[in-house]
Amino acid sequence: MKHSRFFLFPLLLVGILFFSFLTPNGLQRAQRLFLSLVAPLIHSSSSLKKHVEGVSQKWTTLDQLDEQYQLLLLENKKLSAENQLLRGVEEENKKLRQIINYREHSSFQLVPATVIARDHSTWWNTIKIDRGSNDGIAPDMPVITDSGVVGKTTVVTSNLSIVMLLTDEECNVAAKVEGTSEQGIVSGLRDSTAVLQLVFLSKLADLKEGQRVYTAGVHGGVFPSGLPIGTIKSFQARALDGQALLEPAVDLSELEEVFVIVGAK
Amino acid sequence: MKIVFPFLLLTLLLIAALILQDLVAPAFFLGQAQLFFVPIVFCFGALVLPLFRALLFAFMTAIIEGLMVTHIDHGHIEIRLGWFIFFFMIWTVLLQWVSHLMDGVRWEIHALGSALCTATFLLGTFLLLAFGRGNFYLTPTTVSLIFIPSGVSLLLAPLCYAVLQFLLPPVKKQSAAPRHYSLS
Repeated sequence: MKHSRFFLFPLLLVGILFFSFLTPNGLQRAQRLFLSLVAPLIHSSSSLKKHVEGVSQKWTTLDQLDEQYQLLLLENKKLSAENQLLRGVEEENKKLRQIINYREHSSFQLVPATVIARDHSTWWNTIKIDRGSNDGIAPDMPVITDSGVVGKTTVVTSNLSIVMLLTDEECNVAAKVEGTSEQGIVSGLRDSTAVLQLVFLSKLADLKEGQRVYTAGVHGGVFPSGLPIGTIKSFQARALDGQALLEPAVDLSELEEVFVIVGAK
Repeated sequence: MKIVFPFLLLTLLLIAALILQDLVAPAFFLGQAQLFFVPIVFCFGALVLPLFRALLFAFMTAIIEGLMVTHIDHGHIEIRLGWFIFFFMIWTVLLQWVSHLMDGVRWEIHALGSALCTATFLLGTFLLLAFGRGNFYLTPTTVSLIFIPSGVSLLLAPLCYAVLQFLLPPVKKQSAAPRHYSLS
């Protein structure tokens, strides 16, 4: 036993040093491998949770009817989300036609996904969805619902992806305010999962409560233009810029089904 | 087999606790605070296993928790796995030392350890993020997000201890040394 300890202590030390100095790519590979290993457990516990939650409901309704209803609901949400996207594209089209008589016909391909787990770490806001690279998902793809932006994918395994929510402090989205020329960056606040902040606005911005905020769709960015982010709750001028607090368009605490924009159709 | 079984069982419990943490949504009535189960399982393992195996268990907890939690965005690691390893190793040594002082594994040590481990874990990650991101908002909400989960851990730990001690009963020793598994 003592001999094995003699060998195991240096091994433990090597392990500590190895994991401490892992490069971001190495760590991401390790994270993908670990998530792939636990993915079946997460999937099955999530279905078990949903099954337990739905037990009382299933007793009162016919299984087949419920299944059809869920499918129709999902289809409806998908169509609403597509519609929302097309609205943004239409708006962009109108502007482009007006300016340079440019015609563009594009729409987006959506992959529906179910939320199977939420991040338990208090300071990051992420969720796990049941779709991955097998469904065409890659890191840095926008995730939406029929109501608006949810976030973007970060780590993607074959059948599970991590989505960084809009309310995360590190999720920065270029945004524009409806009816104004104001543009800024939307990000989350570390101590709140229900409020977003829009910063880098001009100090003299004339913003009113209830005004809508959409993605600006910058070139090379993650999010296409025209997706609803939220509505303005308050505005204050700071030393160098203006800051608005927003109510997210999507209730991120109640997410069940989302859509990942995997590319153009 | 006698050596491997407790370690294997604790590892399985750890993974189960980790998945449960992800499944349980933040409690609305607790001010959106998240519930933590990993520190409870970890503290139990750190108390009942002999030092070397407890350190190995801490190492594994750190890797699993770190891989599940760490954020990597655009090639930037916000908290390196080394911090997690350091944190859980320190707590293992501390818990072993306290159990040695208190003449064995006791539920009170486990409960207090779980609560403090949860609080220091949240505070530690908060401080690392605050320094890394260059901003430091310590608001009442932030404080409640640190201390409410540790309070919940304090309440849940005795319950978990009662269940876990049936699965892995700490072996009594005659001396004042901590009650560990007689595995050697």
